[in-house]
Amino acid sequence: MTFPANEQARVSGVKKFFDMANVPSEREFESFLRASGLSRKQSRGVIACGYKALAAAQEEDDEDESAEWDSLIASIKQATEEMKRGIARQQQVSDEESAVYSSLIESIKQATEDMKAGFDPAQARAPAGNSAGGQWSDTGGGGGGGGGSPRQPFPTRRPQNLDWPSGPDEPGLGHPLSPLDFIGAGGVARVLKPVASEIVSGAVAARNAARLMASGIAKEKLTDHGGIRVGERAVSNREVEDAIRTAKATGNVTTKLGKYRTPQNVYKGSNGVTVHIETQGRNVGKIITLYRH
Amino acid sequence: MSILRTSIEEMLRAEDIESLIESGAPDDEYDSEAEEIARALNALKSNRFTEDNIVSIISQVWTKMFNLDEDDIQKRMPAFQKVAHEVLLARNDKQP
Repeated sequence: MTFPANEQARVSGVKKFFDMANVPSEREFESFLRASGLSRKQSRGVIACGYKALAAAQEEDDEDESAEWDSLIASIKQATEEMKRGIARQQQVSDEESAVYSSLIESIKQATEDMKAGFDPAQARAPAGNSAGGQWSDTGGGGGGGGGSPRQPFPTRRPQNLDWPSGPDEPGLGHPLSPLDFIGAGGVARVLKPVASEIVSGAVAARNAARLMASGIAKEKLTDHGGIRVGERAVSNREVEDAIRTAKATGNVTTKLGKYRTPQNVYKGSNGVTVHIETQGRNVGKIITLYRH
Repeated sequence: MSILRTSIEEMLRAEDIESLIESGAPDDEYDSEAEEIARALNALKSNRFTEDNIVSIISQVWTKMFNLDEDDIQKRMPAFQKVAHEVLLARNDKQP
């Protein structure tokens, strides 16, 4: 070491220190011992009791150090336990949220798969106990019952041709739909609220919204009531177009006024789908309802 | 809630305010409106469960679901009042 922190710690300095005729003071000797590498406690032990005190001082140091370690380990253990408890609480909350999200996601996945497969929720299933139990039967698109209309696949994309086969008072389709357009903030809140009935309600709303989106029918073409009916009854845009076209071709278009004299055209299509479209007023051109007859 | 909702479904079906069932729509045509009305009614405090408030709730649900204006709502008001009155009676019957 070229420049020691303590000049007296040099070998020459130590020799000089002991060569001196005068006995150093306790303070000087302690300083010398500290400079030689002993701790303060060790230095004081040597001064008080000679070399034997070194071992005792070392044990004390070890005990102090050991106590510090014990304290530190205890703190770490306590912190770990608190972390574990916090993680457990978080996990509990997370599990509840996860169940809600899983339910929602499963509903949307199921609805998407249903629509890709051309699923009609109103179509009858073979009864349990039958060899084909649970399978879709070839008869009975729902709503009005009977009929046996063939299943129509849902479009997996929005149709490019956005024209309705109808009059000028029934404008074309608008922007693509998002499920949130139909679930709304309230619906999302319902979905996320961890109460069983609310989860079911939200999941049904999500499923219907997904079906509505996949139907390809624009929001502008529907009242809220009509939109819900599209989702519940799983009718595609193609089916609506076919119903209107075939109803016109076969003369199955009637005008109803209802109790409050709001005129609407009722298109009873040859494809088994009936569509009600308002022809005057603020909902002109919009689907009020539709169903399978 | 499920009992009230079922009652409301039956009332709306019987009243057929938009004449949709009469025109061929299925019997469950107004079930989603019944659900919304029942949900709102169940959020009402007991002392606010009045015929006027029930009419107000039905009006709001109908306005939203069928995209109606004030004039449309006024025309339907007697039907709303009738349903509200029946809801109140049904609710009182269920009270202990």
